[in-house]
Amino acid sequence: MTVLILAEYTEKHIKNVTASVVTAALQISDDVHVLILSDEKNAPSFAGQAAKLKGVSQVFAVGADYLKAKLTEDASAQIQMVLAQNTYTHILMSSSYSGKRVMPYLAGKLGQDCASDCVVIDDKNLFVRPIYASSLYVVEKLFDEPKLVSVRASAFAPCGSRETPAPITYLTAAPAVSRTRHIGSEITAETSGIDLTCANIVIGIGRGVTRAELPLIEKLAVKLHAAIGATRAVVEEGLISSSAMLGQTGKIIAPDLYIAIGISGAIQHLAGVKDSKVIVAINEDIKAPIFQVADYGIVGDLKTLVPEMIEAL
Amino acid sequence: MKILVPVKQVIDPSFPVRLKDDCSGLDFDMVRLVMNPYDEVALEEALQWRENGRAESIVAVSCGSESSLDVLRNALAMGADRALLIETRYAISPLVLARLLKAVALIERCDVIFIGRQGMGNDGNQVAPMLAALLDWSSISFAEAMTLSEDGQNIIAQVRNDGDGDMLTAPLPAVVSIELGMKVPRYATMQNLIKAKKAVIPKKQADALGVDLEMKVAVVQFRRPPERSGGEIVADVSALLEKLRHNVLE
Repeated sequence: MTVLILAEYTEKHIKNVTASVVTAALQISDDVHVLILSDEKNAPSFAGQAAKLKGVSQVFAVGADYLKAKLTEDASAQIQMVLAQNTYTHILMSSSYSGKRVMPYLAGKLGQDCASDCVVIDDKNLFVRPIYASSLYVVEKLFDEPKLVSVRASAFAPCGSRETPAPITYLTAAPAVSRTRHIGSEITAETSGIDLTCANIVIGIGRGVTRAELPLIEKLAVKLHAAIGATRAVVEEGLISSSAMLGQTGKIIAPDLYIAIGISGAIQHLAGVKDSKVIVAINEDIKAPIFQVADYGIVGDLKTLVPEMIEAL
Repeated sequence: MKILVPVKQVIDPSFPVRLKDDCSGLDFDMVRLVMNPYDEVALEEALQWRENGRAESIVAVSCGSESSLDVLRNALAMGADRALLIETRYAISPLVLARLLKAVALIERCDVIFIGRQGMGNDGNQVAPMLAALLDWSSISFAEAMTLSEDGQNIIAQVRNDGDGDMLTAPLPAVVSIELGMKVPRYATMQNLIKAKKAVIPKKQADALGVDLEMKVAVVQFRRPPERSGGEIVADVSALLEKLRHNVLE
């Protein structure tokens, strides 16, 4: 049994989510390969980082400038090329937006079903994933190989690193196939400039926070070195960009500390944050459901409580 | 241009979903079934494309049991030109659904498919990319806003991504998966609902489409997730920070 993982990266670094996917893969097999698809210049750096992930036994790297756009069709074609050369029992990727694009697309090309957003791996065939905004888990069995699985990274601890790197093999890129073109990035004004899915501390704001109180929240975020996320209601009011939306239909996070301010705690929102290690709730209404999942709660007005926090930190 | 909008019948998300006591399946007794809210937005976008003169006609299709006729009637009442039921006798997997939708798209000679990014509840996010792969059409997923290029040949879309969003352009034919925030779906008027109630919606059996119906995945069990229990209410900010310093902040 051999597992192939498609690595994800930021401008310079392999993402932590990939280290978590390695942990998931090691639960299936101890033969774990990582595939890097990047531009030519950065491929050696990404491959070197992946080779130092603990538990990885082989790294394949494809460097071609058109891969920088991370287009679904191209990623799928490259994986198919690797599959033509090696046999894999499983292909894993995190259930990020990229993973949610690439895995089902590849599944279509291979004539397979796939398991999305797995939080528990029961065994090599059985994958557990949340449904109904994480109010239930379903256990799915995949029949044929390679089994395609996207993994919720926050459910698995990162694999850590090691000194002796795994071997790296460079592969020639398959021809570009995507007809889709990347024409730009939407620059969002995420105030603290910290990526939500990587932040150790996240402040979430809900309907209880008005535009006037936003500077206060930003001040607290700077103090805590925290990223700011929001509920759907806040995004729809235009207070914050939709890329900051947390929940079933937005981003799913698991920071060390999640501070929910003015958030009542609807199930759709909780689905995105309930894996946080510690949850703090600040809300005026003691009956708000958020208090039922929060480790620590304060009942009171955020207009006085948040400045007190900024002052005390 | 002809737009295909697949519409799925799902449990109204405002109803809590429960597991039967023996964990054998979901308790459907106390719920209401509605059109998948994401598909409603996809249909609204399609209706606006027709109103703006970008599209000529809209076909709504649902794959499921007879009960899915309700969401198709709703689609007609909202303004779809035609509706079609692909009747299945059992729950189908995303791959089989994508195969059925591919067959429909080709039979109907559609140019583009607008579909919700996920079925509310199953939360799988699979069908749109799978369908694009099967058709070998352009794949645009998680679109928050979109338009047609001036020459009418390309879709230009703002899509969600990890970190910031992206702007993409892709030639037709295409499969576009749609985010909830793209549009606010219109309500069907009572008059249109009554009219749709009388409409005869054509049905086709899934096994009559010449499609491979073999599923590659099976649900073997349901399980209750671990519960997070509530903690304590602290008196003030200093008590809170005391706790946090102990725990997460140094």
